[in-house]
Amino acid sequence: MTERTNAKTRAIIAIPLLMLGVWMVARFNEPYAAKMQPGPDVLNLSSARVIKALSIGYNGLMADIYWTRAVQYYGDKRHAVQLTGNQAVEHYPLLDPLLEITVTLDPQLVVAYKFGAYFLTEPSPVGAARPDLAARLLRQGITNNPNEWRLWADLGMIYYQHGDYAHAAEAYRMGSEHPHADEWMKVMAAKIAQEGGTNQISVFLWSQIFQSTKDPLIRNNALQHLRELGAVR
Amino acid sequence: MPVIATEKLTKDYLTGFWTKHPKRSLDSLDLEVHENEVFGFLGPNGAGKTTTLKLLMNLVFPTSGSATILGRPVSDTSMHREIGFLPEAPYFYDYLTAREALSYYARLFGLKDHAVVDRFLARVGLTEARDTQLRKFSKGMLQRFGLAQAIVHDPRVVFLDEPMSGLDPVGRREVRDLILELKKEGRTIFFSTHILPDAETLCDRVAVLARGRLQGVGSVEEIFHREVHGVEIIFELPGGGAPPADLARTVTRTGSRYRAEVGVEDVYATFARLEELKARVVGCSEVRPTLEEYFMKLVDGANQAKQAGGGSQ
Amino acid sequence: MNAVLVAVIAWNTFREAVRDRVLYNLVFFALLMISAAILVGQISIGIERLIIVNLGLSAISVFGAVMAVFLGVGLVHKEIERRTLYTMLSKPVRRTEFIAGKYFGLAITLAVNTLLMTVGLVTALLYVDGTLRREDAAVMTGVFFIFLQLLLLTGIALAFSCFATPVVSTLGTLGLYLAGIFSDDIRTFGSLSENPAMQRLTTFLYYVLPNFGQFNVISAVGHGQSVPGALIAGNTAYTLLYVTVTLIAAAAIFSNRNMK
Ligand SMILES: Nc1ncnc2c1ncn2[C@@H]1O[C@H](COP(=O)(O)OP(=O)(O)O)[C@@H](O)[C@H]1O
Ligand SMILES: [Mg+2]
Repeated sequence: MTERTNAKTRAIIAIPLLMLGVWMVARFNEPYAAKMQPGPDVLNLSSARVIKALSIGYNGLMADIYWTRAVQYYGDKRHAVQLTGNQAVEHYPLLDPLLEITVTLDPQLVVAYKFGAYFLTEPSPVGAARPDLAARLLRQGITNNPNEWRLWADLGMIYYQHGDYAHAAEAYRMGSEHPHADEWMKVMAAKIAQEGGTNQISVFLWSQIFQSTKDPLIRNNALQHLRELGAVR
Repeated sequence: MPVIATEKLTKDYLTGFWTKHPKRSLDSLDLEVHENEVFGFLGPNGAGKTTTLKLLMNLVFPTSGSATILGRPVSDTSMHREIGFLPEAPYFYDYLTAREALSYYARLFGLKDHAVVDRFLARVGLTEARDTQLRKFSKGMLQRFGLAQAIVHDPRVVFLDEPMSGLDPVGRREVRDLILELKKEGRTIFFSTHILPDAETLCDRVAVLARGRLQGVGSVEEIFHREVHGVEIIFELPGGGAPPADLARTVTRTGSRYRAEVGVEDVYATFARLEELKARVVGCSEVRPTLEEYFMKLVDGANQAKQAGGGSQ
Repeated sequence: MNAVLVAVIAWNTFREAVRDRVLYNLVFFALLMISAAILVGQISIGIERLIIVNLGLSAISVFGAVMAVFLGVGLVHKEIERRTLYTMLSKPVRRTEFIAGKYFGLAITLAVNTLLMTVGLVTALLYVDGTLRREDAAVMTGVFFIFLQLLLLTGIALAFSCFATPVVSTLGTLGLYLAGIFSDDIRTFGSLSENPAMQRLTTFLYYVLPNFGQFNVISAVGHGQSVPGALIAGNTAYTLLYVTVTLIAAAAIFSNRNMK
């Protein structure tokens, strides 16, 4: 038999068998591979879905790029407000879409939920004054990252700041049920449920936020709140 | 046992862009080459010489027929240990130096000795260029390198496709000497050429191919000396006079010399007349058709045969 | 199959890539990692390490894929076109051995390239983070999976290279690459349609197309998620099987091909 016919025969016999092996291994891999993929798709924006498709597997990198853009957008606008003193107009209209794209591309990018919610919820000019969008973003983050109990704390804070003590207490309670959650979550849930908003609770929550991050932007803001509450000078 | 044998070896190439139709490039070639022969494979461009060599090297596959080398089918790759091949207008890995490239080829035969490589580069006259990248080689140097890679593994049979094309006269001379050396070493050499004098001085036997068909095989004498046209006589006349017009079939003058071409049967009569004229004869030799003429005749014959056959193949 | 011959041919293929300055892409990779490492420190948005991992792994994958495809499609075609094959195949080299040699040659090239880029990534991580962490082991698994994808991509490109022109081969290889990345979506699309024939077809495609999606762990390892050993074993086996398929197909095509 010549090499020609040999090679042909080998291909005809071996390829189907090997493809059977390929099929079996692919089935075997499926559950493990699924676990490595970015969490459940909570797609609210069609543009986010398109960008995800276009990122052909590089969605982690694309998410980083969009997160950077979101931060830059926020930073630029805020800088402009400080320069002009024109406080009325700024509502950061692109912030929510940029965040949405970011977390669609990388649902595990916890900073995007955490800081994004903060940017969204703060009153103008510091933020977009959209606590509703902030709460939605955080809930999305909680769904995609069930292990991150701190997101519950962030959600609770948003409700707390706007006087929605029932929801705030509920959020802290939910977070406190997480096995790794800090003890104070439980305390906050109970205290807010009983007392609503008090100066003492506010001081505690802002100092928690202050301690939870190294980011100067957020720390300064927390410090500002603490100053207003008279906790620091 | 013949060293190379082909039996009704036929190759059709599919040509045409949209509708492929077969074009016969080699038609039922029957050939036998014997041990230690220098065998010339002659034919004009497009005759099918390269096609034959590619079939023998198993680079293309026959449409029908078969071929063996050293008694083994050409599809048997292990037989390649015993043969060497120089392709037409050869090209090699041009990012390698001559030395690197030749030791690469040698390694394919399990030869790791650098001395062997250097010896063969010297043999084809590339010692000075051995550390130059092949992309800087001239066509003639590539041809020499090609010869080195064809013989580096001490093959029993060497196939050379147009080994002298692209070489200057000195290079041709060297290739000719190399081929004769290879013969002396007991190898069999099969080479193709469309340059006839090359074949004439080298070959034990030749085959002539035209339009994919074998036109004849035999010794150079058998093929090319078959008919003697006549005899040419070169002479000078005293006092620079002109010879009579009826002296010979043709008389031509070059400088002070004349060249008369006469039939074999008229040689003595012509000499007698030249003696009368007091001519001084300076040379006398056979006139046979030039190889080109012979070639043209064969090719014309092949063309006519094709037309007579209505162009069918 | 003569392993020594395959190794000799592979070595020469690697040497060709090096002499053709293919590894120069590393300079661009280095520049990318250096500028990223310096820049992320200034932007400070809490994800410096993540950016370096995502950017580094994505770049290793893109640079590698471009190399695998563009060198892969020329592996055999270039040798046919330049007629360097005439001398190669007149040596005692079987066509199957030649194919294997070319494949492993490019595989070595990709391995060296990937390894050097990984050194760059680790250096950038050290610069940004100060130390290496346990999670960085998962990043190495990410690199390994990228390399497996490159091996697969090379096999596909090589198979194309045996019968098609480089342009067609490139399109075909990239087409299969994209289809392989989206094979999940193809199946999802099928399951959305009500037509059972369509569902069967998309499921079939899902398993037959090279499943590049199963290799993508870049985001996950960026977040420090570790890759289960079963998936490492599974993907390795998958690559070995699929590459063997492409090589056998390539050898069968090439062994039956007339050299023009
Ligand atoms: N790959 C090919 N495809 C189509 N036709 C070819 C091919 N190779 C050669 N031919 C044709 O076959 C004939 C013989 O060519 P070739 O063997 O190269 O001649 P030679 O070497 O004697 O000059 C020519 O007419 C040529 O056009
Ligand atoms: Mg020729």
